[in-house]
Amino acid sequence: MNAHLDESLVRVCQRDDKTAYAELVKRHYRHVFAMCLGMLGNVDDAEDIAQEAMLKGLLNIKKLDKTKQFESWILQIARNLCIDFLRRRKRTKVVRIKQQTQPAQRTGENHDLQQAIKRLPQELRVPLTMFYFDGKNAKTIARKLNISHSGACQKIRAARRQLHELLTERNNNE
Amino acid sequence: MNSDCENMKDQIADYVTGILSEGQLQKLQQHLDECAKCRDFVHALKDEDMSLTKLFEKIDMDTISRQERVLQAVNHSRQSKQTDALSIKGKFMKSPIIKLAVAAAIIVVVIIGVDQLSTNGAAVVWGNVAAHAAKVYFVHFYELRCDQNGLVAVCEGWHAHGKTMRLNTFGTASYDDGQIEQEYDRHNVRIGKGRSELADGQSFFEVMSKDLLSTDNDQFNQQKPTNAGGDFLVYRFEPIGEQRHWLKGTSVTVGRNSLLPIQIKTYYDAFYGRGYELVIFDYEEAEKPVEFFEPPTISKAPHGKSQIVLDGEEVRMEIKDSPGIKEAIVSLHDKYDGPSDQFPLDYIRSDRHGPEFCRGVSEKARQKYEEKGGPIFRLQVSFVTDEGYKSTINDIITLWLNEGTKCGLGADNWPDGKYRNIVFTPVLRPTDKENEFTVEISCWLRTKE
Repeated sequence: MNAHLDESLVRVCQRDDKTAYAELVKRHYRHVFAMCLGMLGNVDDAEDIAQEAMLKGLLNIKKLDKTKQFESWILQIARNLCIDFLRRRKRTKVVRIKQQTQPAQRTGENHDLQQAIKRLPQELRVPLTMFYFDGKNAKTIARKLNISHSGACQKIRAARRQLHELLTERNNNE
Repeated sequence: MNSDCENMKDQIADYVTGILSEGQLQKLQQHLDECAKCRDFVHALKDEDMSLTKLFEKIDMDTISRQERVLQAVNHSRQSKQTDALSIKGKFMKSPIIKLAVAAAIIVVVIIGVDQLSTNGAAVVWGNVAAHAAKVYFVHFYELRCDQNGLVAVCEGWHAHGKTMRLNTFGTASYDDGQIEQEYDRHNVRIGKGRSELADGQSFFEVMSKDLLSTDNDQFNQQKPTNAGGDFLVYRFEPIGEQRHWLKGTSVTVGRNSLLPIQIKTYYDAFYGRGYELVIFDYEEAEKPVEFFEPPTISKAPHGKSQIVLDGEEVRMEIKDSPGIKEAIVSLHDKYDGPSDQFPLDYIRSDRHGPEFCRGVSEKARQKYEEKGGPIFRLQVSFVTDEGYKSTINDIITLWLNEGTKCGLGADNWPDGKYRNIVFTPVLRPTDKENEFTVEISCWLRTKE
């Protein structure tokens, strides 16, 4: 991701140009959605929170001093919104999961996989989701999560192994 | 499988994921040539890799339409003005009240620290505190979060009359009436709506304490304070169930005489960082009247109302009490009440949007239809302003009966070049005739200042 281009866009945007912000949305929405999907484990919730993050970004763009760091800033906004969502919507989420169980069962293999992903601990689910959703590049994941490259690899590896165990355990139980 | 196999599993996971280095690859290849069980493990992980790739590709198919919806929302929203650029967090922390609250929190923490050295053993069990808290009628509170970046104010809030009102960091306000929670921006435009955490019959303190302050929580009811010196009792709880993934513990400080919570501190440690969330309560501020908890834009009656015939002619509806808007032009089409797996993927038909976008909107409607059932309808709406300008048409509105849907129109394409954004909520109500309905519209015009 070209930080200089981000910087120029942010500067233009800070002068009330929404077109520039639309460009920033196009460049970063995908990563923000991936982060939300990993944290929340649900496409609908991720879509809502990713949109909210993008709108909050627009509302607060003038407060962004380090204009080169739009990516980490917007991801931080998304992360905080996810944390708030998980904290405040705990009960609602339980209801939603119950509602979605029935139709999802019809999808068979995908359903098992989705359930196994949901059972992964959050610190593994986020890097795994971002890795598969966003180009399978561990270096990019490391930068977005602000961790080392080897740390990102280690998390993806642990996620794969744990996921395999969850899927195998399910198959053995059936 | 020999003793090397366990060591090889990490490398196999890396190999299948495509992150194994060249040097390690050669070593792994040698091992795989000799070990059938590890080859099976490779095949199993490769199958899973393929399934994962397919799953996320499927989710990714809608990314463009999702992004399009965000761009529309961005287009309909307004950017903060320079005068707004002063951080709300900054404003918040400049407030002497907040400074006092934060100082009070620090003092409380220090006192607790000192108290831990001299416990003298009052034995009030947690169940007594929960029972007292359940009787509280009015609470004023601050929510703060502290992490590696420092202390951040989340909101200031009030709870009374069974309702909760919060002023949030980003300048928004939330109104929770015990059933629905709604969030409004500083221009009183609703930006979010969801089910209230209180809707399942939990009390305010149960929600704020992540279920700890429940009078029927057997696991905690008999728990005694870990510290009982001075004027405070401190209860510490270990996380239970799913909370273990991110919660590291909760401590609740309670007034010794009042037996009411003064603060709830929740420690978390997750991959995104570690820190704590702090809620500080007081009970002394003047109680707020019931009007204080009402959302700003609730309209007792819709601004426009008219009869409408399904797949009939468009209806021109007079708009009253909404400055700047003269009338709405509405038509109703495409009732669908069939099975969800035959839901038409071109349900949203329009020449003005790309087919991908329309499919994306239709798919989202289908998913909701699968959960809620039908019938559903498609509504086309446009507005005429006081100046006689006609807006563009919003033709992607999917409506369920008796359910409002927030929509937007307008922005910059007006003949006089001025900014206008019309935010509106249509509701469709049945009549005693099958193909006739009542459509109600509440609407607001927003202009650049």
